Amino acid sequence: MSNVRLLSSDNEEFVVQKEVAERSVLIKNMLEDVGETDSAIPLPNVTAKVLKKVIEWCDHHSSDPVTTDETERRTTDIDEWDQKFMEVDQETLFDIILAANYLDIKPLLDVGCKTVANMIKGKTAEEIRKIFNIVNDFTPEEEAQIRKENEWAEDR
Amino acid sequence: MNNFGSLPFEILSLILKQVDQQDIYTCAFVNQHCHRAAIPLLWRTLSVPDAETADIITDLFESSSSSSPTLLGHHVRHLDFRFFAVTDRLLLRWMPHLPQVTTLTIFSGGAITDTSFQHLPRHCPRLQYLCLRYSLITQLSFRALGQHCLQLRVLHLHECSGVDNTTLSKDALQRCPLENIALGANDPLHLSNVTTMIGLTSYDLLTNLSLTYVSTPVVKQLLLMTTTTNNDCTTSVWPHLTYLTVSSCADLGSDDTLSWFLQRHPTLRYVSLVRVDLTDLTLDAIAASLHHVTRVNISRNQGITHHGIRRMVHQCRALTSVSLYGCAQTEVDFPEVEPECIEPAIFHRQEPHRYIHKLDQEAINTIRTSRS
Repeated sequence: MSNVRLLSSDNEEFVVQKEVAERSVLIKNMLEDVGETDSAIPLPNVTAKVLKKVIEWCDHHSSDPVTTDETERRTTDIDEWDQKFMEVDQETLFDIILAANYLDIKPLLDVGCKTVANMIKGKTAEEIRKIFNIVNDFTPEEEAQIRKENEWAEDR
Repeated sequence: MNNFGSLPFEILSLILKQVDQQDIYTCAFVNQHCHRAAIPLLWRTLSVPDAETADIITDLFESSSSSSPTLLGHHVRHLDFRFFAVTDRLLLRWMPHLPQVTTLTIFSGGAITDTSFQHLPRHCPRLQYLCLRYSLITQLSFRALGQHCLQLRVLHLHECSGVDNTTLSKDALQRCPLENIALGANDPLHLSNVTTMIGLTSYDLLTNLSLTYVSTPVVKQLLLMTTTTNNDCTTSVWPHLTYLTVSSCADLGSDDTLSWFLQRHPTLRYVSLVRVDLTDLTLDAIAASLHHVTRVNISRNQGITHHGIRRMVHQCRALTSVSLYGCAQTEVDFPEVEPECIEPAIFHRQEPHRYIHKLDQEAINTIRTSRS
């Protein structure tokens, strides 16, 4: 089993089994393009802290079948291991999602999005702002306008 | 620091696709960024429940001020009048605001005529799916569809009296890549024109075909015209046909036309032949020819026997379900089946035996293993 070297944005090197690294479509395509290489693959958008988490996920899921079927992924809930894996602070959670998007690891992106979706389900706008520390940047007039335009779509 | 309110637009959209409409509506109020991601999803499917909602939406389309950078109507992909009888007047006012619509469903189309519909294809050129019932549109509208909607793949017309021998002909819809066509009426007299149906033979991309209450001689003639023979080599005009439905076509099963057709379309995977007076001869044709068929619906055919059904189950190895409503098959004919295959008590008359209405995967497996 051959290994691949990955270099985080803060210059930390990780040695990973090829099949683990290839959960990332970006890395898989890079490896196919350059062929056998000894030099480390630079990942300028991912810090060591996040890359470590991503590799942990890829390692656990390295033998999963690759599903391309959108609906199949959509209907299944988050499994227990993934739920535990996603029990991190918000900043890390969003960093993992962004890294999964950049590295093109669809199932990890999916788990991340579902985790966030579960945090907003059934909440009010004010509760969502509180959870994520978001500032309301609407004027009362703008809010009234949004209500007017979309009320028909509420609770269908 | 990244947070929910500042995630890239496409990731925010992915998250919002995992929550229901109510939560998307709520997110539109969280902040400007969430609003931009939520609005296209809120407007993606426009399903009109009543006249009051229709009026609100008309006002929104026609008012110039909007909180969304894109015009609201431009987000709409699926327009659904399943529960509301739309009129020419409303459709005419809406269509200029809906350039991205890909699917249009109108169930109560009694008030829809060429007055509005002939203009719709020009405004909605991305239309891929059209389901229209009880509308009075004629050739004028069909020709406009063929001229502007060059991605139209699905066409379902039910009880549209303007369907005539020009509808499916060369100068109307021929440029549309139609894969899925359903034609139906409430009375076989309404779809009794042979030339109308023969137009169907020129759509060689057809995968799904559904005919309901089309008159029997017309269906027979159509089925016989679907193959050509050159040098002993038979080819179908529909080489991709996988899904066939023929409903309420009296006596279709009484001669070998249907069997002849099935034998020449071994690619079929789903076959629904409801109330067409089937006999075991047709079931034997299915058994002999359709090796890939997975689902068969032969409801409302009293002329078939459990012997024919069993032969089909044994020979069609891919078969996973058979629907048998109103086929007079009882639990005595199929002692293998579990209670869920037996008709609900509400249908039980005073007969000594209960009727079965389907064979599910389990029943099919049992029948196959218990072959005597």
